[in-house]
Amino acid sequence: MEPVGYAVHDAVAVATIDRPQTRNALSADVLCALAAAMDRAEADPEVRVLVLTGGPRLFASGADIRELRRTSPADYLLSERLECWNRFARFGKPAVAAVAGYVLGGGCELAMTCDAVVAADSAVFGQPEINLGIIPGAGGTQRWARVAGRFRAAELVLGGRLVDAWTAQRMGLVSQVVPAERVVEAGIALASSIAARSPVAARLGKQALRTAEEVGLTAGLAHERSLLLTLLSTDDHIEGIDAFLEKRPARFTGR
Amino acid sequence: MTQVHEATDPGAGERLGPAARSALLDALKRHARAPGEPLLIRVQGDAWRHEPDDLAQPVVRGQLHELVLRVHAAPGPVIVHVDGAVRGLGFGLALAADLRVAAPTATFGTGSPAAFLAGGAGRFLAGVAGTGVLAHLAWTGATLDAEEALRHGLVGSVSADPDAGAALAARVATVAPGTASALARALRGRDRPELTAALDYESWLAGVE
Repeated sequence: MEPVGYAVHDAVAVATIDRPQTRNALSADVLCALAAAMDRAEADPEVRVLVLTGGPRLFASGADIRELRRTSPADYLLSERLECWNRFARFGKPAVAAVAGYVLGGGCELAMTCDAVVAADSAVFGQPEINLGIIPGAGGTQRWARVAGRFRAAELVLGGRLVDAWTAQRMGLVSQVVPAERVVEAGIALASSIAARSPVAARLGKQALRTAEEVGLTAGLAHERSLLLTLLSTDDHIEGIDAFLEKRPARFTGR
Repeated sequence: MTQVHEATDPGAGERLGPAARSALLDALKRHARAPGEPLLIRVQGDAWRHEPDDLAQPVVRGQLHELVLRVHAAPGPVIVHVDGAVRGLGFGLALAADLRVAAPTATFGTGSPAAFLAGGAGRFLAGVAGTGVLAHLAWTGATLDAEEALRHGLVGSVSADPDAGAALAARVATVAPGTASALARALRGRDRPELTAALDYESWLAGVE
């Protein structure tokens, strides 16, 4: 059985981690399958937004601990997993994480590579690596600090604290909390609303937001302006403005 | 000057249906253009005895809860005068208003669990009467008559005078527009982010079977 399911609903691709026997642990084969799903979504011109989910029961419980126990520093540096994580961060189209149950360790880091997180009311977030004598290695320390501030991030990263969906929403990670049985539907609904916008504007908007995490304000503003200038040369911007003035829905083509 | 919206009872199956919601939405939009002015909503008979016919999430969030949020976010005081059964969305709308006047014939309740979720009444009711009253009404489907509603703080007064709402609105209208606008914004701003999150969550719960 494939560790990651893949389906396309209109312009939204849904990649579903499907390893319930290991609580969707992010073993190397799961990570590679996720990277392959992202390659597929990136290459498909019909797909405008990707939803990452583990279904309505759990998202991902983190790394495969037994696999990690056998891993030496050299193994880790040379393994495919690092390239997979780089792939997740490079994904160019908007991505929505629709998460439920355990969203721990690497699972939480995976959700944080997305652009929006829709959480089930059952979701539990955390970076419990400290309990294993290690720390997060796929962005957990950096992204939590940016999302919630260094001091609140320390509770999770240093104290191993787990937080529920409502707390994660207040901390700024989660944009919407929904009933667990409807989390995938809600993720697809959010993705569909993004997919209805200009795909090129959504892509560059994502790029601008990501730049905000990387550079200072002056450089970020300059980058934002250059992206806007790019968009002013697209058919979509003419269509968007015409549709607004004519009080009709826009028909964006991505050109 | 007071703006007035008459919510007439279109009969079972149509109460707070698309036509009634559209008329109320228009009234709220007109009211929003006159910050500080009171809006009196006179609910006739069982016009707000809501039995939802469509619990699709976009409908609950985009239409039903939008009305509740608009009442709550109105830039001037909203007064609701009721004399019949208030349920579901009607209960949420009444509780989202600033002031409520009830005739002795009025009754209040969540309605069916689905109607309760579609109306977004939970958050307001917990604030007004406490979570105990909320849980009792929600789990048992019990209703409160006008005097009980008065005791629990759900309404400010009970009066058989058909012009009681208008009299209250006239009194509120004497507050200077700038003061009324500032007061309305202070009252709305306090819990707006959490209210929005709660209603959003309930809009998805409404369709859970």
